Amino acid sequence: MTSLPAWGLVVGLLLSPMDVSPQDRCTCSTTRVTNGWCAIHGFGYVGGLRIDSAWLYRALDAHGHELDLTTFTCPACKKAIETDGFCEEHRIGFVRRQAYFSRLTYELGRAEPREPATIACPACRKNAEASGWCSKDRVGMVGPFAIRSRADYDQAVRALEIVRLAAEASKRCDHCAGAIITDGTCPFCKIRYEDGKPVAN
Amino acid sequence: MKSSRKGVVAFAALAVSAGSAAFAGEHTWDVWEVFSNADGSIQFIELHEANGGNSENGINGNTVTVHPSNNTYLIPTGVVGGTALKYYLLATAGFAALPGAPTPDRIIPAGFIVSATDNEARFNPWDTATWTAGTLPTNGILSLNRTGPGSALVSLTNSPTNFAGATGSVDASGGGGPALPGEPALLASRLTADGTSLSVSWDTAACTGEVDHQILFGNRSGLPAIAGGSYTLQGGQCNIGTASPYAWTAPSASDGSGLLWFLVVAENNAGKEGSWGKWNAASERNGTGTNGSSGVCAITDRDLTNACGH
Repeated sequence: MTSLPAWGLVVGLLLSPMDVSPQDRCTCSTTRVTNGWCAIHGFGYVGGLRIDSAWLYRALDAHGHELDLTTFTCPACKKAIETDGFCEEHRIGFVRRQAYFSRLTYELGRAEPREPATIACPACRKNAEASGWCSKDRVGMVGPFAIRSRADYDQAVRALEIVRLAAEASKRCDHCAGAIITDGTCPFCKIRYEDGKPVAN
Repeated sequence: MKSSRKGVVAFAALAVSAGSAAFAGEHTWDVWEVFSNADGSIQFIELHEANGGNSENGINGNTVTVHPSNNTYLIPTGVVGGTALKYYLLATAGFAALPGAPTPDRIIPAGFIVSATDNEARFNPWDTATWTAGTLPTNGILSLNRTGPGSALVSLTNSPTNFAGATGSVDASGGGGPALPGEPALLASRLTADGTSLSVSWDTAACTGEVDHQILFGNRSGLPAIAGGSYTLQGGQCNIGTASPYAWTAPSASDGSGLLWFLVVAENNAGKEGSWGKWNAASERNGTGTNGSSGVCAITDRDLTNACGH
């Protein structure tokens, strides 16, 4: 081991997972901390929440999108692009000029991923199992993602609850799940949702 | 401590990349254009990747719905290849059969859009385009269009485009191909909404021994001044072949009148053209060339034995 240079370790780390495509190998050991999807076992995580519906996982799309930012003409979107902010009207957030299409994924995009086993604070480690705010360290955990602003953390937790409801709904209807995360209407069940709950049409 | 932090960052970046590689997005597709003719047999809904996202391939499992009729189409497969600023066309079979129509990516049922009462088209769950019920044009030419992401819909000449990039404009105003006055065998329909491209067809069964055809055309000032007078041509579309129909890119009337008339005439051998048809029950239409021929397309004479075309 001592003869292995540091850069060799990095190269090995980089190369070994890539020689088999994600579809062909189990990624369960990393999916929770990376908002990933294990194609072998057919589930993924977003914000530490297990998602069993591939469609919902894809719809949540917890990664930044490289887009042509000149196509965003809404003033609030333009401001969000420049400030790593969130446009409430279009429900798009921007982090380092990448677009995120929900409040939750936007907050996660700004958060710090933490491998729970490496978290020293017991309360924070416990919070990483689901979510919670540690008053001592002044950090909130949404799954394995650390958020330092209480206001941002509260937003993320509210958004996570909506996604939890969507994940539950996806067991019976993906389209209801899609309607839940967008305050829309399921075209098949004809149920309209607001804040994760059915409302009268 | 510093190098260990770098290692964690590298690992996280790698794992995020690996985790997301299996999934393609679909968020940046918008409802872009909505079209219906009067009876709903010819309709399309066009989606557009409007934000330059090149990996928005995962439209499968998403639905397109019109509201309040709630007619819904479930997109069965994603798209392959770069998606930045691409289009995706869902259209009726009646649309697909029109000349000039790009091949739809998906076929939706006729009457999918209830033009009298529907006021929304949705790409669920990401985008909704709305209009006032009853304002969707049904004249077979105009459609409702976005002009930018999230913009209001405006009426423009239809411009359907499919994922492969094939585009066109259809004329669904009359069911296609009205007979031209006085020449029931000569049919013309617009391939483009502005009429600059026409599908011209004629009765080939009446042709005997022709080697080619020409389209002879003129403008208002070239019409005969008196009944039985000569027709003065603006020009000819030569050598259009013997197969009907022919897609003709028609010129503008050179006299500024906006009126362009035309005939299809057979070309017999040896530079002779066939009949121009009759202007009344008994008498031939005549051009200004030898024996009433056109004098264009290397025609030097006329032989009335071949009466097809017109």
